[in-house]
Amino acid sequence: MRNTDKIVRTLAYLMIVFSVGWIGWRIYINSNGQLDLTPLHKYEVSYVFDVAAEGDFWVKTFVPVNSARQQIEYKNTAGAADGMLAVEGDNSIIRWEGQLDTPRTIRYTFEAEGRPVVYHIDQQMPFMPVFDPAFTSELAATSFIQADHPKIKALSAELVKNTTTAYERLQALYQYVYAMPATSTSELTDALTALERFEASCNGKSRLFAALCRSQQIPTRLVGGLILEETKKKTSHLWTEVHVAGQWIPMDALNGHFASLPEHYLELYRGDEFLITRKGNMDFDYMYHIEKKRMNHFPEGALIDLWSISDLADIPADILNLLILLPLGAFLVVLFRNVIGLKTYGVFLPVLVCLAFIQTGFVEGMILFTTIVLVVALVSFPLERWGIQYTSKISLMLIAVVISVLAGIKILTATGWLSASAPLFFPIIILTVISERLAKKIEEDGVNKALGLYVQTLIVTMFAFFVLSSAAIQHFVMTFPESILALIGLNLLLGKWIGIRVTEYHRFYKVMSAKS
Amino acid sequence: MIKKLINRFNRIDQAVLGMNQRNIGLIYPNNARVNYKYADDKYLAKEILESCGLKCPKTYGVVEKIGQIEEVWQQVSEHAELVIKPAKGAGGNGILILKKKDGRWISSGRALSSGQIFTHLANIIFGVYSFGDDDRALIEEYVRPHAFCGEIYDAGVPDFRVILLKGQPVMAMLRVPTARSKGKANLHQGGLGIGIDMQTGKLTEAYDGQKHMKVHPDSGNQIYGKEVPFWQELLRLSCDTAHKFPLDYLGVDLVLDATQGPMVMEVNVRPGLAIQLANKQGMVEVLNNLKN
Repeated sequence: MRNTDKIVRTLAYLMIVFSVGWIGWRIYINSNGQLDLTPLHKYEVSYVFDVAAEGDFWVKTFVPVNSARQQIEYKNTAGAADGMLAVEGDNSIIRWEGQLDTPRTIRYTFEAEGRPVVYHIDQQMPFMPVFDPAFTSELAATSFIQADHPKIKALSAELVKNTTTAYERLQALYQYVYAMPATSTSELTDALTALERFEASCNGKSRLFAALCRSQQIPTRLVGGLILEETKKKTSHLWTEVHVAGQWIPMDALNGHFASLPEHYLELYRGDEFLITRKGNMDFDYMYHIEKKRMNHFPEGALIDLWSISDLADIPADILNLLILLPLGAFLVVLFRNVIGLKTYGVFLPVLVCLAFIQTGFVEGMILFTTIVLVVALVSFPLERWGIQYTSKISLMLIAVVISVLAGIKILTATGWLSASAPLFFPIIILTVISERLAKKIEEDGVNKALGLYVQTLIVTMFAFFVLSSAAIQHFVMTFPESILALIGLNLLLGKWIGIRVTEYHRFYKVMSAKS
Repeated sequence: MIKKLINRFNRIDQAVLGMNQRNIGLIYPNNARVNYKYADDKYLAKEILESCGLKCPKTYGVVEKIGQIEEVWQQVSEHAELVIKPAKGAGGNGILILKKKDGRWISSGRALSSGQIFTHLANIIFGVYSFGDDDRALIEEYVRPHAFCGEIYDAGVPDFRVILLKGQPVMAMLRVPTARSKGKANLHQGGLGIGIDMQTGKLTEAYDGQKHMKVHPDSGNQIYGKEVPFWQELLRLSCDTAHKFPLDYLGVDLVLDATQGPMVMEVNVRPGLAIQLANKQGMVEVLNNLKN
């Protein structure tokens, strides 16, 4: 007995040391010891233009360039081969032109990787209007940015009335535009129209903000680009940059980014431009195809490189991610059961419920889960009283669950809480499994006990959810599957651990006081 | 304050048997998994008990299949009182005590039709009380508790739990029903656990899950200091039982029948931790004392 204990313990420590060592080695060889786990994404962006014309055609659009906050890598596509790149002012453009006999699809693809940025504006710095001729175009009143219109000037003066510092002044102007109701129109809205309608989309808000700033002699320019997300869309985005204390600082008064931008903003051009321009009399349609790709910054020396497997074999990273999270989830449940002393419906079930929650979202998952538990508990009363056979009873409970889940989905999608495409199949299967366990527990130990177990299961599930839904942890286990070896070691150690559970301290606390 | 807390925690660490230590330190090394069935399945347990001549309640009938329900029921319904049990039930769940009154079967004051009894038997066989496993329903003799039990509380059947390690009794308690436990003697169903002095066979205090007491909360009868009749016979029967079962760490549950004396009800391979609460004593400490 003693001997096996020793073997198990040694094996466990070896596993843990080996795993930690392996991960450390991988971090070392891949990035010289820097562990940057910010869950960075890479996006593959394709411009897809369908053109058809009799004879001549031309299309021009902007292409992104590398900067401190975005890294671009161009792909070889037909569109790249015959497009002509050029620099036009601040921006890079690409232009396709030629003769067309048959309709053509131009596909132009690049990968973009962004970094979030946050700028610091010194809150003590007094406001200084800028009259530098270098900023003439960023201070100019234009036909869309009517900085010199009396209404704009009056509003801007009113907004900054009690401000002294640059920060306060920017805040006052920004907050006004941010608070204005948002619409999703894609039509061009100039600053004055936005103000008069008192509602605007990104382009109207950006022009209004620019006009308000320029009328205060703050150099301001428009920035156009795409918000990167896993989708196909036509919508582009417009935001602004103000020049303060020697640097250009981003402001998005539609989505609420003051002096900051998230990583998924892709900048394409600066200035009040049209993203796509083309020959007038031709048939044209366009779409931006954007694919989100997670990145592995530690590709060397992996036990198994899940990221590249996902890319190469076309297995969705989500599925691999759920799979690789299972052992960690199960270990958390073991901790809760054997060290804390909470009871749960099985060891695996809380993990599965937790993974279900990751798919549905926490609140929606809780609603589904609680509904199911309540339905099963309620249905069990009459079925019990009528003396319905056990297996039939379980089947009836399942029907009740399905009916209430359908009703729930209907309500949730109608209220817009749940998108119609939410992946519900897997969660519902898991929650129905739970409902059978619950039904059985009610049968065996009564409703009180079963609900007590439900609450404990929920506590464990919630905790596991907050751990497993963390993007950093997901990214970590996905990048370092070697961590599973450490989990083997930890499980072995816990499997031999004979300490008192936390709940047992509570249970025996009073009694053990009597003697010493 | 903190110091007191730490002292108490240290004491619990040293004296109390926790769930982890019970499993890893006592159950696993002393019992082979393949032999758990002799404790978990009352049908198999009774086969051993009966073949070894260890006293236990008589078996009137066993229902193994749905089709046998009516046939077996025909055979056993001549008895005036009987108990239906799931062979693999745990925690006293699924046990039905039936007494005939004016030709009708009464269970805890409620008349049951034969249809209801059949449903119960069918539920047992379907595994409702045995975690979904197929099960057998045992129908056996109703144990009439000894007068000693009535002197504490006169409803339900109190039982003794003796925990033994390698054939040696370690701790014991008497479990007595209360009004709250509805005739059941199990601690987690609201019954009382009463500590027993192993040497003298005298009852110590009773524990109801919250606090200790010296009298029964419903009857007001004295518990503390009361002497258990047939104590040595109870201990001997539990030792004999432990000897015949291929389990080295186990709990033996016994009852005291009015006429037949000590009888083994069942054997438990995972005896609970509450016996320490009833005795106000940690089992690790008791085991250490036994060793010295």
